[in-house]
Amino acid sequence: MKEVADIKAAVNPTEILFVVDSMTGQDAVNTAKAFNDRLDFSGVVLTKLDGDTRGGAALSIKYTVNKPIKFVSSGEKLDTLDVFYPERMAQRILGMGDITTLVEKAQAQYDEVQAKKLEKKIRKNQFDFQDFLDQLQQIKKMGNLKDLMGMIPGVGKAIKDVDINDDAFKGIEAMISSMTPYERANPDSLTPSRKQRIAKGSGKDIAEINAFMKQFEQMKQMMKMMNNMPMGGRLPGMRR
Amino acid sequence: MFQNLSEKLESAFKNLKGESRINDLNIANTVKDIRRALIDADVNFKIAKEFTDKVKDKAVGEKVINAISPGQLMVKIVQDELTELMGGTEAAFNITGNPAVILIAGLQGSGKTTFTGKLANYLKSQKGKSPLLVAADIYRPAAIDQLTVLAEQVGVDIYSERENKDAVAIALNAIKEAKA
Repeated sequence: MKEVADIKAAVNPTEILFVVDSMTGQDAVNTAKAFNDRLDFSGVVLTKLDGDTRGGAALSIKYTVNKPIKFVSSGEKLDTLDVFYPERMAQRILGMGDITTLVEKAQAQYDEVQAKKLEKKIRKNQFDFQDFLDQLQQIKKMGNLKDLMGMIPGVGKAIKDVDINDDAFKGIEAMISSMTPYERANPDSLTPSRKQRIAKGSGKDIAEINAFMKQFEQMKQMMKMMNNMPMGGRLPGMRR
Repeated sequence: MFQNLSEKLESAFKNLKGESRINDLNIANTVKDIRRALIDADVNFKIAKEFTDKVKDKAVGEKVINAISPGQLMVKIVQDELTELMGGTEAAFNITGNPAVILIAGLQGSGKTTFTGKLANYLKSQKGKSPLLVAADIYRPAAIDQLTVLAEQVGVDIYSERENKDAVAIALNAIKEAKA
């Protein structure tokens, strides 16, 4: 404790952040108090928030030490750091979801040029396996699926006991990854012998590949229908 | 996150179902349940009490307009108070200065090193800064290795002096290095 106070005196930091494990609840608050007496920090960082089901630390720290929570962090991955917004957190606690954060996360991954290209392809009914794979990967980049869905108002409650497998897309990814670039761009090119090879490559059997192809065709049909709708029938998410 | 708290608050609001207006009588149970939910969530008793007193004061006498039910009104009041309790608006993060020095402190195992990596990533990718990580932990050599790996992953520089046991000197040298 003395060391950190010495460092503070020597370097005169612009920000002093106190990092605390949110799962420790009241203990977190007590340590915060002790550190604040010695260090007079400027903000709090709550870590391991993903494992905290109670929220005691988040709710009492500001009141106790009168210092704001500046960041919350959950998980090991480097991009799992969020600026702390009290209002959004309150909405989440009350089960109202957090659409703002969801939209921000989507925007961070959103690539305008790519989206335009994709829109064009959908309009011409040329959506192929590669595009599908790209889409899947973009969703995955936004983070843990269950967390994402929990940000949609009302959904969080509904899925709290449902185990959503982040690997759900893995099989599909494996299948597409086992295709050659030509096959990915030409979904109609899949002859039985090609399918056999893809099945071997992805560890699936042919029935699964056929099922996936059928789903993919249905998806394309849906896109076609939307294209043919009056008023241009643009996909709501594609606008901009 | 916060599933337990969410569930308990939700059931607290259910008590108000079917009431046409909020009065001392029908709010008592809800307020008690909210307080219990907060205490179960490991919120200090004093804070929980003060919180529910405020909610009660706001709720009693609040006129319920036709369009919304007392339950909904309660949710709104609790939401406002929760926001207030957690700080109201988001806090500014000051990174001005040349260099801006950020001191990160905390107990062992609280996640300092991991957070440092994340913060470096945030500053680099979202704020366009080029942070220099400084390992001033003189007790745990492995912390330096961990930070080095993180710095590599993020793609930022790191400053460390493995032999130096004087944390203050390391910090000062690092600032010199950052200015250079």
